[in-house]
Order: sequence, then structure tokens, then C-alpha cells
Amino acid sequence: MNHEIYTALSGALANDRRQEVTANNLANINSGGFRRDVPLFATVYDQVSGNNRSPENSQDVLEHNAFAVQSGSWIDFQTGAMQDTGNPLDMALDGEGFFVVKRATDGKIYYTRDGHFRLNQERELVAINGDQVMAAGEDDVPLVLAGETPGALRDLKIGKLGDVMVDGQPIGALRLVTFADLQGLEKLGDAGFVESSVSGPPEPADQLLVSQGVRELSNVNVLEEMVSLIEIARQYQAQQKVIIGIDEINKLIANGVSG
Amino acid sequence: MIRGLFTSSTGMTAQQLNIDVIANNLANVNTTGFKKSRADFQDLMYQTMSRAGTTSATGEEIPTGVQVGLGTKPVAVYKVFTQGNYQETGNELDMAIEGDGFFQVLLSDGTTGYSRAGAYKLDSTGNMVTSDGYALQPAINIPSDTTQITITADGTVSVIQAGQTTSTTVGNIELASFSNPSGLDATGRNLFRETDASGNATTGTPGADGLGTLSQGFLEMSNVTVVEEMVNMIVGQRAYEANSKSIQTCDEMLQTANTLKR
Repeated sequence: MNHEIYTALSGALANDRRQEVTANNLANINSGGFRRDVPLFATVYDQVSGNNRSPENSQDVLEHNAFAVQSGSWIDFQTGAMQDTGNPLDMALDGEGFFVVKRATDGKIYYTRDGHFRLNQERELVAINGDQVMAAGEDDVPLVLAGETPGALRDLKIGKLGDVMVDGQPIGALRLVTFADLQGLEKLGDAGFVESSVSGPPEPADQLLVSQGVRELSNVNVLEEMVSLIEIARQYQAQQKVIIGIDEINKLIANGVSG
Repeated sequence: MIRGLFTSSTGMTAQQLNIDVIANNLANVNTTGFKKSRADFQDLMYQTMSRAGTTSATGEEIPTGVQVGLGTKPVAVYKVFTQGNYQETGNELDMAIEGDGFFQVLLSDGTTGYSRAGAYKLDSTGNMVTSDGYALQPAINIPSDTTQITITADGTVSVIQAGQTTSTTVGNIELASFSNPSGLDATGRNLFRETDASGNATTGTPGADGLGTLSQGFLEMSNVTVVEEMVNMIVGQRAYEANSKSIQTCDEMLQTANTLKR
């Protein structure tokens, strides 16, 4: 038996994964601050032919099988489209970086690009799912828009660097962070990211500019994803033809041997 | 692939909700004091196949993890409390709030309802009531022999009675405000109720403490903008379509896989 059939299968499975990721990107066309995923694949050689695992030193080896496996997932951190909402509690980030949010259920700190905030009963700035937005500083304290007259949100001003003014009085600043390696971040759902040992710890983001009254949308491009869908389906069909072809050869061999 | 089918179905369900909300906004384009709603979505959760920073079988550190997302979810449908346009009616019992704040009315269960709609009428005993008959709070009674009603910007209601030349103050209209108006519960009939999320109502004189002022003879119209809703509808419809294409692709691929075995 030859192993090519598994090579073709690995390609089909890779397209299977690409379809799943594309489906998730398309499902999140309208999720504020969503960053699209791109799966990455790499060739892996099997060890049937001894120690020669790379094609460079395999001239004398007649047989080695290559497989496609997912090596990672690339998160596209390109800025999404901006929507002018006029809502003073909507904030968009210009540059690489994130708002810092504390999850209400377990107190976990996570990072988001979705600056679609509102106020809760305690006048704390919270994300749309109710998680508190953290104020600048080392301690994880929520940003409280205190000292304000009820309902008068027109007097809230967010400066370019995230400083917050209420009724002309500075009351604090938003905590804005970035990471040494954004690709090391893990997705959490809820438009959130968490750090890993690859991304490194959060660092203050100095290059980041905040725009008030603007909301950053998803960075999914429908056209791009549609082209991917067509490509995935066609490649999958081609891989199916290869599998059928190999099967035909195997059948011939089997029939030849048996009689 | 099967996972992809369900992922796309969350996308389609989300867009359905989005269109439902837009449909209600458009249905209320002429409703006095109506505030439009918006549906908000976030990515659901991720299935992590391998974590960034862990070590692979051959000893190398994995630089980027493998995560597959499972779709989207509606996270909130919230009211947008921007000011609607004003319409001059000339009716002396019509009022529009210029700025933040809500009228308070007494509901049949004894609790207070909050409304932006300022179209008041008089009931048989001369009390100011909404079109549904809920009495304005604090109650204001207009004497039956009134010839002219004046409501000032700060909510003072005064009347001139038949045969008199000077006006008499019959009451003061108070407005209520909330720290988080988006957290109010919309109950229909142009009414909102307070919730834990909205916080308790703070009442005050119109014009004071950030509350808006009153304009007699005007009504606040719906804050729905048809063009904006149309654009949102197009975006929602196309997103729905895109997700259906993803389901179709998935189906095609499953069919392809099925024809492998003849």
C-alpha cells in the first residue's frame, strides 16, 4: 500500500479547518472589534524513509510522504472599519493596543478593541457585556465617572491619550496596553484577548490614540472570505479526485496481485 | 466542517435578530417619543487545539496557538437615547423635553413609568394623563373653567380661569433621570420601567442638574432615521446571505466527501 492517499487526506482536512475558520469570520461580520483568523499550515514529512526528514538531504531516498498540518493560527490585527456613532461612550483605538477589561464572573483581566462602553448603576464604565473597564494605574480598579450631574453625559470628554474629563475636571484615564508579540495573544470570546508566554506581559501603549464617539467594527472583509469559500470548496473537490485516483490505482494493484 | 455548519447558523440567527430590531425601529418611525434599539454582537467562544507558548513534540515552542471560533452571539439589545426631532403641534398640553430626562406617570399597578412622549390629555376630573390614561406624576389638575394653560421651561403649570386676568399656578412638572438610561426596561406604550441596571430615578426640576427643559406646544418625534435603518438593513441582509453561503459551501464539501465512497 502506498501512503499518498493520506497526503491527499491531510490536504482535505486542512481545507476542512479553513472552512470552519471562514465560517467563524463570517459569523462575526457584525461583532464590534472582532479580529479575523487565518489558519496557517505547514508541510510535515513522515519518517518512513529513515532519518531523512527534509527534502534537501533526501536525494537518495525514493519514498517520503508529505502531509499538510495546521501549524498555527494568525490573527489579523488590521484595524476594522470605523463607525461614527456620536455616542460619547463609544471609543475607538487608532494604533496597536487594547482597552483593559475585568470579567465580572471570575475577575479575569482581558483585553479588547471593542470600545462600545456604557455606564452601570455605580457609574462605572463597563463593556457592553457588563464587564468593568480598568482605569490607568497598577491596580485593577474600574474607571468611575463620578462627580457628574445625573444624565449629563454630553460633558464627558475623552482625550486623545485616554484621559477622561467630566464637567471639565480630569477624573482619571483609561488603561491602554499593547504586547511585544500580538500573535501570541489568545482569543477568549466576548471580543476579548488574553496574554500568553509568547505575547509577553501587557505594556503601556504610548503610541495609541483614542477617538471618542467612534466605534471600531469587525475587520472581516466579506469579499475576501467569499473568495476563500469558493477556493476551499474547489480545492476540496480536487483533493477528493486525488483520493479517488489513488484508490483506482490501489484497486488495479490489488486486482493484479490477486489474479 | 460540521462545526462550521453550526458556526454559520449562529451567524444567521444573529442577523435575524438584527433585522427584527431594525423592523421594530422602522415600524416606530412615527411614534412620539420612541427611542430606537440596536442589537450588539460579540464572538462566542473558542476551541483551543494548541496553546501559544507550549512545547511541541519535537521540543520547539509553539509561537501561535490554534484556536477555532464557534460563531457569534447577541450580547445586548439596547436603546439609543439620542434626541428625536421636534414637531410643533400648537396643542397647549403637548410638551417636548429638550435634553435628558423622562416624564413620570402612575401606572395601574401603582408603580412609576417613565416616558419621553409628552402628548398629554385631560381626564374627566381634569387631571393630566397620557393617551393611555396614566396620570402624570406629580399629579396636575386643571380646573374646568380654565381658558389658557401655560407651561414654562422649568415645568411650572399655570392657568388663567374664566373671568380672571391673572394666572394661578396649579403644579410643577418634575423630570426623572437615570445613571444608565440604556438599562431601562421598555414595556411598550411609550413607557420605560426602572431596573437594577438603570439605577434608581433621580427627580428634579426641568433645567436643573443636567435635566432638559420643557417646550410647550411641541412633541418629540421618534429618533429613528430611515436612511440609517435602511443601511443597517442592507448590512444585516448581506451578512445573513454571507453566512448562508458558508453553510452552502459546507454542504457542498460534505457532499464531496460522501462521493468518496462509491
